[in-house]
Amino acid sequence: MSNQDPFGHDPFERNLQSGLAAERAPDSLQRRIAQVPLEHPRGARVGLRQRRIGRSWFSPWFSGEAASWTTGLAAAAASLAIGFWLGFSGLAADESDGDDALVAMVFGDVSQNLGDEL
Amino acid sequence: MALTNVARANLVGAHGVRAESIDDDAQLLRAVADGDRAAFNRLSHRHLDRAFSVAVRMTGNRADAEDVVQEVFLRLWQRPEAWRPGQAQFSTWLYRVVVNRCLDLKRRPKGTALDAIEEPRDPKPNAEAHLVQAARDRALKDAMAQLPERQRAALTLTYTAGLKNAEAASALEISVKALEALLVRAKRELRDALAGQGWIET
Repeated sequence: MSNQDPFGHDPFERNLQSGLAAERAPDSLQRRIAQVPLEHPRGARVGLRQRRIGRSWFSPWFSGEAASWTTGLAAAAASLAIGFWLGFSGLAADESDGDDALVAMVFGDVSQNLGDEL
Repeated sequence: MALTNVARANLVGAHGVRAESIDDDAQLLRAVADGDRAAFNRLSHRHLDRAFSVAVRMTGNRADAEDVVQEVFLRLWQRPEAWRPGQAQFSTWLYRVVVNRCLDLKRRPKGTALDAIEEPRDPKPNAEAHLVQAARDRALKDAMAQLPERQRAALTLTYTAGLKNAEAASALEISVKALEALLVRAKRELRDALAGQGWIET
């Protein structure tokens, strides 16, 4: 005898559907989930900042592995800029007493006649 | 009730969007990424029952299921970007995460906790029918627990989570044919187990 009912529904299939149907989550779990944002706050301010950085055109430069390269490149550019500034400020071009000026700038509190006393 | 108060207090999110009016999971997740608690509550209410039920079927233990689901939703709150639009539907992805967490939990050795023992259900006026139904459900649950993990996951995702075969196959990262084969084998084993105990006719 087949276990199919007149409507073609398999009783086993019905048992399976009812036995495995989703049930309501217990209130205790609902309360625990509702507490998640309160116990682990993530302020809107943080979200806004993340969104700004996350969507800006330069954000890939400061994310993950690229950050160290970007920092190194920025340091090199700053070093180059200082070099140009020193050069164009006239210090390097001053042929007459450039060395003395450089010594005076670097060792400002040391007598320029250092060694003359000997 | 505390839950209702919390949910109502968070109804309007940080960016003034009424999360209650959003029907799309992807939209809700974008709001969650911006720290919108109301959107998180809306999203969790929408999927909590099924996520919990999937976890119960997979672990066979309500206390473990609660822990798994709480952990999954905590991670979702902390890293909503873990779900990427275009890969799979959010619900498919969520249930896959739940199933995977349950499997991780089952592989972790541990003793039987006191709260793992099911509490007896309250007798109802139609106590006999209720007891028969409870006994049948228990037999089904026991038979489910004997199934291989993948068969159990296939049944749970289709019958409990309500996923279509293609979605369940995607969640398990297998082909639809492979999923159907898993379902056939799982049902055959369940049918044999329940028939052996006289719960169904052969």
